[in-house]
Amino acid sequence: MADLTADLGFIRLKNPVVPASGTFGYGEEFGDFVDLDELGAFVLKGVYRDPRPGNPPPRIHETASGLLNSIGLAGPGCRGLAEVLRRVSAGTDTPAIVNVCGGSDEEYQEVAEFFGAMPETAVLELNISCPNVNAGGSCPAQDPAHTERLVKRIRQAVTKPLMVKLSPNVADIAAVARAAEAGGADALSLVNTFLGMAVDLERRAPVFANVVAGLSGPAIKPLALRLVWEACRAVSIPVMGIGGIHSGRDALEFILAGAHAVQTGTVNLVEPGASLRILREMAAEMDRLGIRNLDMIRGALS
Amino acid sequence: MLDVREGSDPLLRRPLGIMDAEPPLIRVYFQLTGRGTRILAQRRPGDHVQVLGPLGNPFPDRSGRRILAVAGGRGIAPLFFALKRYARANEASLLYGARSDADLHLRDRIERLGLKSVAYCTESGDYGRPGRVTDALQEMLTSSQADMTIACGPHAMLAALAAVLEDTTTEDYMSAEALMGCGIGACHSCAITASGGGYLRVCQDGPVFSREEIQWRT
Repeated sequence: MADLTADLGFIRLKNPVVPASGTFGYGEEFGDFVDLDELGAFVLKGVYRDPRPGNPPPRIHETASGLLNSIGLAGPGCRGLAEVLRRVSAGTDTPAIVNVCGGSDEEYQEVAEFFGAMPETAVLELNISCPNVNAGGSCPAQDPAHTERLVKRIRQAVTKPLMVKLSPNVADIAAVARAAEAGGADALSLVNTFLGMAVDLERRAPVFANVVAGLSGPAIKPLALRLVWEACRAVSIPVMGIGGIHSGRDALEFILAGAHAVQTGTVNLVEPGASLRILREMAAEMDRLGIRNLDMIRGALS
Repeated sequence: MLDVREGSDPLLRRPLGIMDAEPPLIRVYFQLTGRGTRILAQRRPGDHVQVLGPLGNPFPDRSGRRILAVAGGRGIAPLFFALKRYARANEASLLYGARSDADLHLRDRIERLGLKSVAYCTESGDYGRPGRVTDALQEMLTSSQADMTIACGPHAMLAALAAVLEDTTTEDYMSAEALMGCGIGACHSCAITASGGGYLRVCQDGPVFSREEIQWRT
């Protein structure tokens, strides 16, 4: 039986499968489908300082093998999430990753400090890449200088492991990845959703109030794989690969491209037990291919 | 939530109301509105369709009440199931409206439910009374002496209904529709505006809401 341990240096995960932020609620919604104990880790839905209602509906639009979303990070704010985090963590030893959001550098720091002080937080994932909050879909991860400055600021403010979630909507992913590393990130996770758009021919209007939205699902896998591969070559810190992973083979492909672990996204919404299925498929596929552990194939493209 | 996928396209499950359940059968009733429902309609006896459910909250259990159900178009499906249940221990009536004769579904089955009264209306006027359910609502409320209403139909119909029912003393429940992602409350896609501000999730907080919970007019 293959060894699926994923050692990121600052944390050792029992396996590399981690449900991504915004696709796994707060973990508890999936109680009927996923034994949290079996996951490598899980990322909570993104949190701002204060409660947020999210964007007006419609919030999703189905595309060919994909999903556009404009949820707008609806959530209960720091105090509300703290309660949830305590409750969820009490039921499992699996590391909980808190996805930290902010409308300003100050807010990012405030939220990071808040959850950085909670023993239930295993890792902070700095979400500098959500396309559904600012008009036009802009975010700090589109600017290497802002990325480095912000990561440095958070690095100095907290001692918890810091993972930085990057945007695919950039011309040079390597530059942003290096900026996050230079700022002191312990790890990177990528990609967040691709900026996309849908229009309604009948109404002659954009489908979403924010006009642009984030594309996810199997449609983005090859795009994401390329970006993860480039980021992995640009930095020496571990990377969690994200983007359209729907099978154990998909997950192994991201490891082969250089990732230490993977995050499962949209698949969780379609098939709530998907993360554990993907984990089982990874193990079976590794046995079939004679891969004893992830180190054997990480970044091992010939 | 029914799985209609062929590979990864279409990607999402389809949320359908349960029209009837007689173990071991669950009956769903749907209109061909797009690729997902077309694929579902091609399924044959013996095929496997993966189902996630039942999900969300049903119309509440009641007995000894006088209930008026108001349905619009294919919104009859979940109301049919509710009426079948209610008819055992309540006095139940139905007001059912649609665009035209062809959009009034399940009439044979409705006749067999043993309801106190059934009234149909069509906007085209080719079956039942001409007009919308809201035009006939006041009269039906009076004739049925309803102390409770249940409703399902397009959002605009529910909004119009809610506006009328605000001035009555009936206890009102409405089953809402929304574009849905996961069906289990995790993705927050199926937001509906709450009367107190903010949003509720149709999949988990609903799909049946009491009228007062929702800001129907937006």
